[in-house]
Amino acid sequence: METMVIHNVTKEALPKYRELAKALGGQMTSIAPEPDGEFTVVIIVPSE
Amino acid sequence: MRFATIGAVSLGMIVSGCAEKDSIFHDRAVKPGTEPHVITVDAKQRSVLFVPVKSPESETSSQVTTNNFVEGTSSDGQKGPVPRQTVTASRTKVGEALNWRLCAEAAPDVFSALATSASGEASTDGKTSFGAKFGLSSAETAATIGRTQAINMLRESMYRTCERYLSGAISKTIFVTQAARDQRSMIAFLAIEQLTGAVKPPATIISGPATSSALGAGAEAVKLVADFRKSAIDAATAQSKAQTDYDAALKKADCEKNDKPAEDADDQAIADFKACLDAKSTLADKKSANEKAQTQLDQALKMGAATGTLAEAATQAGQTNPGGGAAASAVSEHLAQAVTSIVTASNINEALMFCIGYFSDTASARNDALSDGCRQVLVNSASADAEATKKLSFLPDSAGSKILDKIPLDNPQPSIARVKEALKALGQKPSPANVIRVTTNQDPALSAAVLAYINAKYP
Repeated sequence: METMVIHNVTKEALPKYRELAKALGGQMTSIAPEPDGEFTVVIIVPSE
Repeated sequence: MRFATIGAVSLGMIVSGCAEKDSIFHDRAVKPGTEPHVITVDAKQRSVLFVPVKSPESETSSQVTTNNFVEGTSSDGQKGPVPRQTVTASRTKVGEALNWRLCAEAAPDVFSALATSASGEASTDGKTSFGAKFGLSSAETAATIGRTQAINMLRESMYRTCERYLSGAISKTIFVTQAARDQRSMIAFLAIEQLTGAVKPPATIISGPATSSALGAGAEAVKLVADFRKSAIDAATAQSKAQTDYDAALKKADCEKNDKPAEDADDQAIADFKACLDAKSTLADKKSANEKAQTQLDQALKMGAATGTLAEAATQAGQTNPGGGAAASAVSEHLAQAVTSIVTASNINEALMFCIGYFSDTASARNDALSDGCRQVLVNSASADAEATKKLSFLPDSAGSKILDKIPLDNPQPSIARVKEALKALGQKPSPANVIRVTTNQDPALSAAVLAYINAKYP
């Protein structure tokens, strides 16, 4: 598994990344709000 | 009754002795106080070294604490709540042991299997005589555990590092740095070993026959040995006398070089030759008898050996596998390049490791130039890490963002398959992580190429 941290994710893009992670066999494990209203998300996905 | 008591006591002594002989665990108390201590060992046991760490010189200190209020008279004479003060004092004796450093050796390289059996026999005529026999036998087999040279090197290296720290040859700061070096070495060892083939000698096995001792039959064994010893001495004496007679006969007639007397020999010469042949035959017989007596004496000594020290051991020596794997010449060059890459790969950040160890030792963290330098090293390292984690970032209106827009939430799989197809066509690994990286525009050129590929093939 690979852990990926993505910064500056807009509120609109959040569900897209969640579904993308799911479709890739992984999941979004954490969402943290940033001071400017965007989010930092943590996604884990399989290596292969 | 007296014999039974003696037998029981003897049995108890024997059994308790065996427990000490074959036990692999000896818990010897560490001496209280400040003396270093070591628990020792033979090949199949390991040692754990304990060394007390003595406190630096310290002074008796006192501390005043205010923890609540009580009714009383204040300093200006007024009654009311006043703070209650508690004085606590802490003392540390100079040289008092505060804690211990210890080094435990790695698991053993040898193991042994022990088999022990006992038998007993008693007889009596119901009136005046009582007899008892007790037999005990034990056998032990030992073998080495084959380990690769990389594992042996790591075991030794790490244990010696612990020893150096234990003895004060290196500080805690250096210890931390050395641990990072060990980790780096470990990766190199294992990687190279996998590439070139592990050098692993097969196990060496040492086994011996069971040694036995029979208490009840001890007197018989001693008598047997004495008898055979006397026979051996007698046989040796007889052989010596026969040798003297033969030597004397040879001076009169040489029956060693010739098998018959000369044709012109007279009666005396023929008689001397015949005597020589007789002496030669007698010597051969005595020699044979002497050898037989010696063999019997040796066997009797082995049977009578009570402690098993005469046990014969059979050793199967290990052979060394030269390693080298199955590398053919065609791949040798690639193999050499891979090994070179591993060896010359970026090493650990020695400065960072040193500073982590330096600051972990609170006594050494001071406001000096070294501390300032270490703080800068840590800040730089943290900044570099932070930059690395910011590589993935959602960028609106970028090529990556446009790729993400092409992936519908309700049915994402076909679109993801297209992204993977584009990645493959562009010579990239179509892994889930790369799909994420493309959508975050980590490599703008790649994201743009993927977007162009999808737009061209699936307009």
